[in-house]
Amino acid sequence: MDEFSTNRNDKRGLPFGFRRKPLDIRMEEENWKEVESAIRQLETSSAGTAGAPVRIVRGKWLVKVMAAAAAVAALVIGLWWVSTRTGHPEEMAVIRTGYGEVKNIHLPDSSMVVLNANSSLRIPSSWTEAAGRQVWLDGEAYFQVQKKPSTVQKFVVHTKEVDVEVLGTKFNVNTRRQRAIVSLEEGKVRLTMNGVVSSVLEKKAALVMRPGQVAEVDEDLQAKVNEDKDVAVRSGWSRHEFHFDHTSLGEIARLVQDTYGYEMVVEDSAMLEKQISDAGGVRVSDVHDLVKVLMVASGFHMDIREKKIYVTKH
Amino acid sequence: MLTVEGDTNAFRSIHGELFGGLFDYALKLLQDAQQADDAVQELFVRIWVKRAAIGPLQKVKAYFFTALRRQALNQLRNRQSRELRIGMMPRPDIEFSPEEIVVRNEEQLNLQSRIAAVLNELPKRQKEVIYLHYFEEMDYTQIAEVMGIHYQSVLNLTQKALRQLRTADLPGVLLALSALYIASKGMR
Repeated sequence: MDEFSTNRNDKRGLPFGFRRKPLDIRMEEENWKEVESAIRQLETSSAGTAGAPVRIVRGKWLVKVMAAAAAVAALVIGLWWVSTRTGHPEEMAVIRTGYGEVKNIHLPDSSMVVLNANSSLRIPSSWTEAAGRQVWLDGEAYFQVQKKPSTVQKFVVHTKEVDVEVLGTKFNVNTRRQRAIVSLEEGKVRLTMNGVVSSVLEKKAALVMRPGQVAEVDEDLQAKVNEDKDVAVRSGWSRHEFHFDHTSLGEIARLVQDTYGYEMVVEDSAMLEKQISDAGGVRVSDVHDLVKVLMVASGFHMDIREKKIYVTKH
Repeated sequence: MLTVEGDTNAFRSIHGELFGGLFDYALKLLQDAQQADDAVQELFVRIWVKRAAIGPLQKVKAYFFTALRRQALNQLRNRQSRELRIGMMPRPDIEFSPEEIVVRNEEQLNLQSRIAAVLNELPKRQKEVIYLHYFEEMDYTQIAEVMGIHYQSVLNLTQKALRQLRTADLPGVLLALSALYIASKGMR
């Protein structure tokens, strides 16, 4: 057996790992725009571009066309395709993220929402004085809401389990796995429980939260409130940060599933109890980076194949 | 399977998929972000122009990385033509930074700097093999193609690099690397 076969199992022998610095997605987009405009230039200039030497000169494209005939056409850098806006007004705008995707959304009132992977946010296409500021969330998002004078409607985030009513705050709402977890960093929010009211309760229960509190509401609408000294960690995903503090691998597996859609398969279920901690938070740009860090932190070997992560002891 | 033929949509997908790796590699080769960005742009436009001649690619990634390496080294040679003898291709001198190293949290974090320093002391070709193998996750066949060397040379360079890491002064890491070295020798 050739020890240097083309699989990369020899990587597991290294007691340290490598991590690529995360790249800003805008960089790729801007780079592509330049490539595209240069290609357009080539297509619209005179025939015979095969073999044309191409060079960049300090950010400007310099294309020398070697065709014997025809002068170089005037440089026209137009849009390759027209923007595909449909233009007809919708009742609600829906913004969705796929696995591994995070989107920043600016709302009409200058509030900011960071929508985590595999989530959706529904926003009325225009906010009227009467209807106020309301959005509907399924998944996870981090909100930074602009304070408005009390005469204007408050801002409300509707989820399946709770409605979060806010006044100028920073908070994280996680509605994955049939429960809502609201973590408050700044300001004040009031939670009201949704759904069927049990016969024991007279009216919808309401809960006012203070900064540093984390409320967890399960599908039976039972609420648990805890103090968390480091609430900002819960919105770390919006800054591409993960933080594990004696977090079990099982919980991390759920996180990986929710965020990236990748399933973790372990060779021994006891491995899910393994606790993972990182010294001060890790920044990762994608699931591959995260798995590299997890491998080093857990000491297990992990292999990604077809959207599944196989975890073995060696 | 992605090919270079066809419309810009397919090309766009290739760009999206490979940009991160190509940009990082260009940055390691040219050590300047603006130049690296320009180099990747230029690479894509050149390959687009030649696409009819290239035809369908079996190994898109290796092709792009090989072309980028050649392009970047040409650029470096033009830059340094006064210092180097004419006709001599400069060797890429990759620099690892501590932030790119991940260690177990129980060990000290300054180990990251130490590991990066040891890696950076490796000969240039060994560094490049380490980079392409562990960062870009290329297998030895791909590395041989990108660097334009024999498959056996890639194996030799890897072995030498691991041996160097073993003998370097890295407490804690030393024992684990010894085990790795013995194991790989034993497998022959």
